[in-house]
Amino acid sequence: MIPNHVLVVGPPHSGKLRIAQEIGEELESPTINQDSHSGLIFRKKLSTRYFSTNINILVDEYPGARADDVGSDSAKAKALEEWAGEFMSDEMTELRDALDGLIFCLDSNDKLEHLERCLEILESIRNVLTPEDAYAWPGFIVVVVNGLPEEDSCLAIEDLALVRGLECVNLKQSGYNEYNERLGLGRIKELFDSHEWSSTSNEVEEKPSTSNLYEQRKTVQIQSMTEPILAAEEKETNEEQPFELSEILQRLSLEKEKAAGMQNKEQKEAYVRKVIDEIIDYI
Amino acid sequence: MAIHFLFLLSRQGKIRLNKWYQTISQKEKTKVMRELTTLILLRRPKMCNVLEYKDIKVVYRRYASLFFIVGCDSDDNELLSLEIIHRFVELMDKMYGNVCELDIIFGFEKAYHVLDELLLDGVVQESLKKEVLKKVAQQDELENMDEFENIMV
Repeated sequence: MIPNHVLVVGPPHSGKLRIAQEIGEELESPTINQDSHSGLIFRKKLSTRYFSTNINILVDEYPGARADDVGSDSAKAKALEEWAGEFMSDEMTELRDALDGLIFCLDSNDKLEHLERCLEILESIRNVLTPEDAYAWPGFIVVVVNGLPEEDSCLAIEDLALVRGLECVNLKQSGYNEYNERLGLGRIKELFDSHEWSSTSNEVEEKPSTSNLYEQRKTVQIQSMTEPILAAEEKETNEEQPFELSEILQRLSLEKEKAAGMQNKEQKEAYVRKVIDEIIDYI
Repeated sequence: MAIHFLFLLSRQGKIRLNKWYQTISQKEKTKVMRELTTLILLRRPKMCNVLEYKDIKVVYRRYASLFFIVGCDSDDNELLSLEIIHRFVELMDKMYGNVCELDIIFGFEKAYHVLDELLLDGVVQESLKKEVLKKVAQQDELENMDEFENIMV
């Protein structure tokens, strides 16, 4: 099955790895580079009651290399613009076409002006993905923030995302809200479950139903009932009593003594043949 | 009380189901759905569930990750529209057993079945849940019988 791809992108410490680790199951490379999380690929086998599919969660980070001093907002914005320029370039057309989803992580500690600029860039990315209609792209786009829901910055990001028609998820939240909507990572998982992936398989691992189990048990019972009893006994006998040469030799000497006592030559010959046949059968 | 259209929209802006009770071109339908998608997804959760659109009234309600959107005449009772939406959700919940977005995507024919029994030409034709579900179950049974006969032939 061809895997589907989801890109998780954001600045350092914005929760990319947390999302990828929570949703993905297996990391392709054994170690995580501390300098940058760019290039990490997590694999996931998603199975619902309707379909199963393989997903690669691709992690990308801007700027390309981490520094102790994360820099000013203008430097961060420049790094994002560089990344977005590269992502929207013609060389990346194949990557864009292969994507089924884009998770855009934001650092809620950043200034609001910078976050607004980030969302503007994300909007321009969406316009590249779907030039004619903002919602025509078959993939999904989510903005993820990682800050306390009561914080002004988080509320502001949610508002900014909403006016652009983008869904915003806060990683610090969990459970359900008053509209019975899932929050936080639960919502991202729900999104993965309910997305129409470009490559899926209808083969779903079926749990054996009660009626199937009953039938299987009955079949096993019937099979045991139809086996020949004699053959089973012989098999058991053979298994329990392995071939013993000493016993045969002992029996041969006993039969020899018996045969020696016989007067009639023909009777003696017939008896010897019968004994030999029995021993051959036994062997 | 005549409903013009009903459609289901995901929070990602994807149409999951749509039913029209007026004859307009596909192009026009797409345009209406696109415009309403943009309008409704930009609305905050605590905003009013009713909005005016062209010469009609649009009533919507969010259930988990889905928006149920109904277009009705401007002089119709919007609360009745909300009740119809809720009745539709309740029926689907009974039919699928704890309905979710995935059920509607992969079992859309059942959702349309329920809707066809609930609404006829945009008007409620059967309000009794038990009766709607009974009719849908009967249709399913007929369909199964047809399939069985095809196999036997």
